[in-house]
Amino acid sequence: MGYVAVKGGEKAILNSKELLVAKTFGHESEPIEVHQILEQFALAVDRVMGEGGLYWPKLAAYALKQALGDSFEAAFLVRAFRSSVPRRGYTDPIDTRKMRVHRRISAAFKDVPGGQILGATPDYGLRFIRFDLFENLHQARIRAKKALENLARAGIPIPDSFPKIVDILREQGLLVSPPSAPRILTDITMGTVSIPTSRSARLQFLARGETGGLLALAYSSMRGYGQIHPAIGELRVGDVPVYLEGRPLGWIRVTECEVISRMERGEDQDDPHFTMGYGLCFGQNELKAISMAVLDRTMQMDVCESPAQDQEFVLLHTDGIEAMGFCLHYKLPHYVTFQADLNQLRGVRRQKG
Amino acid sequence: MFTLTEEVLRVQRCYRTLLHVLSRPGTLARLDLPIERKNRLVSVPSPLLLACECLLDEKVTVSGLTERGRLWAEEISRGMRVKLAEPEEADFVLSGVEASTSELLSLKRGSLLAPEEGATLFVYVEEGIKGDAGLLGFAGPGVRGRLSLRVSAAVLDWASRRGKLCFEYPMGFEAFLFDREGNVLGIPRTCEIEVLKPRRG
Amino acid sequence: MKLSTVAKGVESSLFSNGPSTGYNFGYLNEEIKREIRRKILKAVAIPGYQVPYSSPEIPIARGWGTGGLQITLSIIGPEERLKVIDQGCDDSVNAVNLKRFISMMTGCEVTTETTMATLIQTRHRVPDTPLKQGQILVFQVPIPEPLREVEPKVELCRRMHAEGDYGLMWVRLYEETVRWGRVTVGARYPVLVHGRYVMDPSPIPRWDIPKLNRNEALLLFGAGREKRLYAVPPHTSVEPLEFEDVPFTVEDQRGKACELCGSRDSFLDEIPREDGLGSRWCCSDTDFCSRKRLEVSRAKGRALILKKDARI
Repeated sequence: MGYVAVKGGEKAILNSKELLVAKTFGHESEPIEVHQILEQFALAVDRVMGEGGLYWPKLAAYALKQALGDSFEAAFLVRAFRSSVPRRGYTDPIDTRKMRVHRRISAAFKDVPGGQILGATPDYGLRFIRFDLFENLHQARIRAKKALENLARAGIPIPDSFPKIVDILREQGLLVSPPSAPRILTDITMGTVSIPTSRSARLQFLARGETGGLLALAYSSMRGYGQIHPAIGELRVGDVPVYLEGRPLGWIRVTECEVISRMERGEDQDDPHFTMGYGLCFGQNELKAISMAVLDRTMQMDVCESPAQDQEFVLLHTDGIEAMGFCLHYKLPHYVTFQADLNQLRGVRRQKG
Repeated sequence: MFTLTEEVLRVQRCYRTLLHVLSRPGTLARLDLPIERKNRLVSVPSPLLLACECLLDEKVTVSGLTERGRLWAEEISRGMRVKLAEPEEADFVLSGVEASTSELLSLKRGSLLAPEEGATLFVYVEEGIKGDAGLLGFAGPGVRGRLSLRVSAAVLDWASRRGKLCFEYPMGFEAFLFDREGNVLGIPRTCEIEVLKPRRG
Repeated sequence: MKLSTVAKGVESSLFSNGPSTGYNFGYLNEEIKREIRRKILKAVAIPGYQVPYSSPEIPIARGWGTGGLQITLSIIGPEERLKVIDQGCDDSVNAVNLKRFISMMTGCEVTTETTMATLIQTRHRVPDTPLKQGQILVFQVPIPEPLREVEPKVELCRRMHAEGDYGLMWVRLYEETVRWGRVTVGARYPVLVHGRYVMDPSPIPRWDIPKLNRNEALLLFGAGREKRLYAVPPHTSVEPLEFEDVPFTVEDQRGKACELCGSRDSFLDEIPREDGLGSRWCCSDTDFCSRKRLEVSRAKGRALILKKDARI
């Protein structure tokens, strides 16, 4: 059988692409609508927006559907789209004090001004799959809507805004004040970044980071690899207004987390104070915001004994799109480099023999 | 699928010419200059304007050497919204060919950690690059062995000043010489230029 | 203008006209192209030095050639004749995908013939057909840092390059010779460019290393994921790092020839036989191979004609 140089690669690729389209859009079951994904897979949408780095829930929903639920692939689709749209400018800094809160808790204090607003969360429930609710979805929907109405009628109206716990701690001098130096906005997508880098750049890397990757590194710190003894000063989920040069554009949902960390003595102060780690990401993604805050703090440590404290390690390995691309690239043909290595191996063997 | 405007095409062609001459010092190439000139930026010579449109934007800074160069830099800064800077700090510097050695010495050369921050100089040679004033020799990366080019007096003088500058490689700056017809010569920092045979003494 | 209104507008434009209308020529916007163009010029001026750049996102996965692609898209013109190869093959997975994307975004001509191409983008090989003046070869680079194996930290590597301090690299190579009697690096063999910077030539086999030295073409290297690009102008020295008593050698292909065209001067791929008795060998460079086969058959044809003439 004669060897034929692989001409058919192009055809194989085209067929593969067609097969994927068939699998994605030619399914047996009823097509899921984008508005259903937005509502019923809301947290997946939020995760994809955050990792893609573009706030457009509908686009993230399309991406998830096209990616057959693969959040890495979906975030990639969003990221690629983002790069194709022209940049107009930068918004004014968001003020999370103006947040319309959905959830707001503090683990550091039993009670806080404004109160602990639990919102809807699986945090306190038992992890049972609710087959009873799945049995009759139609009924479950009606009951749930009614329950919501009752709750709304019975509940106390929540205040328009809540004071920030960190502000309270700062007023009492217990938390380090924010730096007085002018803010440098580094846009990591527009220039080259060398590490060690500014806090602004680090937070951006984290904000676009892949949730699982960030969690793994933050977890390593929590377990002791670069321990910061974190306490959640405040975790907020809600909608914040966005302004461009004073003009209101609309609202976006974000999750914000401030982690209070081990005390330190300042250079010019005698009294020690707490330090802080900060995390903010698109949509509702508490795992990510907490992990971000922990890593923000670990990267500020003077020592570099573990991965979570190492800026280069954290920032270069937590971008999901880059990591995924490189990991998957190993599936590409590598037979020339393999051939080169084979040749060396045989050479060494020959030398010995 | 895509749109290709005249401007995008013009700038792409200009770039390929600049890339070609910088990769092959001593080779003269010609820019495709637009026939019509826009009304703005009238004082900036056509080839320099095209090169600026090709490479400059708000992310870089511009400056000028010699009186003409400074005028051009100001116009470019105004018309293209490029930040003006001092010659010692600018990424791109526009200059007449009469720039002195001390002016050339003031340009950014980059550092060991960031040699790429060295400046890029655009030199306008009114009288033309080619000429009979003498022979300029080129050697180094991009040149097979040695190359020589017959050049005008202005270029010869400029080149002897440039040739005397001692770059501590990898530091240095790049220069592009342009003339009225759009001929362009590229001289990277790695290029060894030598005045081989001046016509007179 | 409200965000929601803007979003609705963008969305409707996406759907009514399809997702790929209104892209700029070459997909990248002019701002991004300008940055890459500026950086390429500096790279050419400092042969072998890794210039950092912003490496924007494109719809091709990181690790699949985004760096090479960004360079190609920044410099390509509508009249370009583009060739894209992967492992030397025009028809390989990666090459086909990239070729389609680039031609979709530029309308340029594509060719498989090395001699006809003005711009060649390649993954892991230098064509066996010698390149000519005026041609540009763009390499896809997974890891631009030749010192990575001896120093994983980016910043420390930068310092070593800045100071020209390549001691650690030499030690590593020396250790290899002590252990194996030779340097066993197969692909990505470190080279010294213009006598100053140690450069990673990308995962090309040793076979291709000598071709880099004083090549007629302009060589551009893009590492998108790592956000570095570098260049080697034509006629520039590129020397593999070697010891006087343990010189650099290319792959040993003695006794082997391409099964299809008979060539002994090209890099050969090994294909294990089904029956388990050894391997067959074929040119990795498919264009080189098909041209050789054409030459061979033409020569055979001429020989036949000569024979016929002789008989008359």
